[in-house]
Amino acid sequence: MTTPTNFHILPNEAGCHNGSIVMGANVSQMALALKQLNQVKFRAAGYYPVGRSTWHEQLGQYIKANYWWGNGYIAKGGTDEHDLFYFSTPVSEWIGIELVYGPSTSTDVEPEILIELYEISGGAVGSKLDEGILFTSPDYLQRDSDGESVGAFRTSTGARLFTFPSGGISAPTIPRPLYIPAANRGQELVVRVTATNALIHGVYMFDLYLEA
Amino acid sequence: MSNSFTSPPVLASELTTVAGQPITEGAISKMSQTANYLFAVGGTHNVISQAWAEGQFNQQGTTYQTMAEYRIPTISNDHYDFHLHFIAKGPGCIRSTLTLGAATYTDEVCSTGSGPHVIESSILVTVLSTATYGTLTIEVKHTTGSPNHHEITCISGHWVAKTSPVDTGARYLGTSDKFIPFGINRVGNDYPLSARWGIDMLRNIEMLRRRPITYLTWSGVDNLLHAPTSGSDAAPALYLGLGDIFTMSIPVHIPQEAVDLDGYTIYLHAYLVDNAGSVSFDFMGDRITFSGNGWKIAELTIQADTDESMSQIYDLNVYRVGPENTLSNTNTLVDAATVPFTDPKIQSLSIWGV
Repeated sequence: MTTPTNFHILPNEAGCHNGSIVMGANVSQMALALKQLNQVKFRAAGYYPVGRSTWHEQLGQYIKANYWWGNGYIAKGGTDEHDLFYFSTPVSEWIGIELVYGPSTSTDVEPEILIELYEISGGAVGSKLDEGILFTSPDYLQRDSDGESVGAFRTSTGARLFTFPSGGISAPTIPRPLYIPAANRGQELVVRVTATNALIHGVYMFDLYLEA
Repeated sequence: MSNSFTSPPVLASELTTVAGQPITEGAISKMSQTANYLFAVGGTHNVISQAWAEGQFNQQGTTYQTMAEYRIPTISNDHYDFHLHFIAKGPGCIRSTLTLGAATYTDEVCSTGSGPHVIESSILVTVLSTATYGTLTIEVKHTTGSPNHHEITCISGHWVAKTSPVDTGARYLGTSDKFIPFGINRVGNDYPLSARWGIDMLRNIEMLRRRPITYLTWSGVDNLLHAPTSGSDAAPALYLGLGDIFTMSIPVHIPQEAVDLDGYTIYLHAYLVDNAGSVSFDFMGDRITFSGNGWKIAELTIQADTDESMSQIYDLNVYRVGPENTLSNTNTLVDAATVPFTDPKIQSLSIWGV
């Protein structure tokens, strides 16, 4: 079956009036429109801008705004961890993620970013649902080259689906979409992002569009 | 007659409904249930999503202070439970107030854990509202204990999905956007496939296509107890800044029809301060001029191109949502060249579309 990604033109209402020949093509178009709504428009998503300090060290001033691209500082070996809520739908399955990050200004460290998926249980972050993915440098993350600016760069999981080996995985894999087990679809979930030697400026998450 | 549905829905194959083929009753039943499901569940994912680095969004004061404010869309008059999640640290309380038209609804949650913990809060709309958007205010205070502040690192909110069946009679978003749920008993074997079913389905699809989904929610953090005096103090953004052009550029699928046709609207709500006259900002190729202070509403006409790389990777029509990289924005958004920045500023921003 093909799933349209956009809002194709719906049949004329007159095609459903008394006196018209009913109506196979009309119903087919309606079925496709419902499929688009279910598989495309109402995909779950959570778009998180991440606020950072706007203190300007050189000026000794509180700027009160993100005054330059990727402003921020992280000490060598420092981490930046975020638990972010993702309200999935019953048809959610794979989560694609785009990260906006800034690598450490230390030139002798390698940035890396780990992303894991958890359920919420008893009002707290519960069991891990996906062992996660690890973005490393230089394959998936930029490394600071001059030690002068943190900057802001983007990387993403891509959309290639992952085939889990029998027995599952016990360690993070290379970047790929996160997988929501069938039993957890429609639940409130937590995506944990842990950056080492890097700062997070944005985490933009969305259900992958899949053919129905 | 019950307007029931299965979740997740079983989609009808369009191949069973093509011209020249008998329309199977199974397909009509599945389509009816899918429409009911989409009314109940569609758009119940994140409406608010925002996070902060450690040590930024914190309150040391022991009386409630308004620290963040958002505009959010409603998705139908029937969805009455707005569920908020926070990651918080330290002892304190969060009071969340949703204003819909003239009515306000509040929920308050207190916690004491010193480490990061999950806080859940439900705001229940108890009187039927026809408002198509609301204003959510987040107040925070510290309570006795250690550490000496209450801190938030993540705010998320969504409308809770309705369960089967959809209520009887016409359902609405606002006063004119109408959805007619399908009685599933009437679309089974030995019932006629009526012209009315076709008309209702077409109109329901159009209504669901117009249902708003959130592209961006962002609020500045206001009313810290003390102004920061060093880099180790909380110094969160209060206003939209130059750097947000690069970091707040969100990849969102927008159907091409919402770009090309007049029937779909993309709304932008912004809270303006220090705007004695008028000021313009650029979003997605559209220059929006705001006059005066407070909440302002604009309709966006997208003039920007898609992000080709993201569109190819994810097989969707991906646009970048947020303040645009234009000369005008680099001149009007807050930067470090002049401190304090006395020109007009945006303190809160929400964009939603279809």
